[in-house]
Amino acid sequence: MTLAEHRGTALGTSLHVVVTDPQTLDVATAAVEAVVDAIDQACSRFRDDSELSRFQTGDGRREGIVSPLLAQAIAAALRAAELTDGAVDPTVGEAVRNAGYTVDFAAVPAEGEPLMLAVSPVPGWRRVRLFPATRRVEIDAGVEVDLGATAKALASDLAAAAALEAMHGGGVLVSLGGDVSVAGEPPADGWHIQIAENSRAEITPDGETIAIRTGGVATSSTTVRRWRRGGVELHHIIDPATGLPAAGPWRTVSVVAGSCVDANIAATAAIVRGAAAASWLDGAGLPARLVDRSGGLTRVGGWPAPGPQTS
Amino acid sequence: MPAPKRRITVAERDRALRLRRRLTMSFGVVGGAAVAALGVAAADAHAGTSTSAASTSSVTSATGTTTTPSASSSSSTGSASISTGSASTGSSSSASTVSGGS
Repeated sequence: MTLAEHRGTALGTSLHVVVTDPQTLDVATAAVEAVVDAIDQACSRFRDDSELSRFQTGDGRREGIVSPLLAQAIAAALRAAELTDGAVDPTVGEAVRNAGYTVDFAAVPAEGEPLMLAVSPVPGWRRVRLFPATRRVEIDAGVEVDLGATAKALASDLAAAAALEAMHGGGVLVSLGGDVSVAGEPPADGWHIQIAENSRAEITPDGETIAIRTGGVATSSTTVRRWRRGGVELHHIIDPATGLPAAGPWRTVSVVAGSCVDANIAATAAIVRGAAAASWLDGAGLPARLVDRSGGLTRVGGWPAPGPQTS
Repeated sequence: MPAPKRRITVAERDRALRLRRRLTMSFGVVGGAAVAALGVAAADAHAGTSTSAASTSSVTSATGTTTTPSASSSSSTGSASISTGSASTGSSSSASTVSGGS
């Protein structure tokens, strides 16, 4: 089977679309880009004109009706928080901004002056309420929502589904910055996905590679979106319990799940949960690969053993 | 004492189900967990089993029409667990993409 692919950028990261029928690549890519643009317009915290930014404007309690897409993204974020006991929490907006991640990452200076950071729990996801039937959202005063932990993975899932619908058959893989979702009929031997710490890494003959037929794969890592302030390394995965970048033993976690957003929820929660994450993932039956700070590997939940190298 | 639970009306149930259908149609997501979560939440409202804070106050929607929120907030999505998947050993020579941090 001959695969066809499109590579680009979106949401401040890489975009990769792969289809099983080369004739469907253009229509699939157009569908993917439409969904990704819509997610950016609805959920970005870096755009003043995004729906989320406009909704959050003001100091007091914010309330109103949001679009179906923003409601869906908020629902995904609140569901992530509920399923992880708050380890993945959308109310980290102020904490991640205080840590220096204030603009699109490409514009975040790699070095900077020292920051004064206080250990303080984030407000907590229960201070954001969504009434699904009416799409009414209420955000308490002082709460800043950041959908970054789940919106990109949700975009991958929605984009893959939209592409499949536009293609009228075949199979499609969508990756947004390494958050991978597949839909439709996969290649005969599945979608082969190399696992790395950085989604921009080249595919190499000795790279650990897995195959999936449905669902998604996501990798969360503290090694890529990093910056230094006063000589201290900071990153973008905030521990809601402290309001500071997570400081657990895992630097990178990859998870396979029934959807990309679920894989991402589990991977990010594992970084935050720290030492307890491996047993949590294993108990949940989630295939996962964890990399500790020294590069040591732990595979749980049925993550496949590395195959023979092809070099 | 907690406020008594309000059983939603047939009209409210139908509105929630129409929303779920519209979201599903709009994005073509059959397996999307987030849509499922919304759907389950709508079903919860219909069943009147939500234990989350209830609200019966009227609100004005973006289009100016007056609506009444359902009794359920998404703090009770009803989604019990993260969906699981499976993987097998792949071949780097066949790899289509890379999953990594970004």
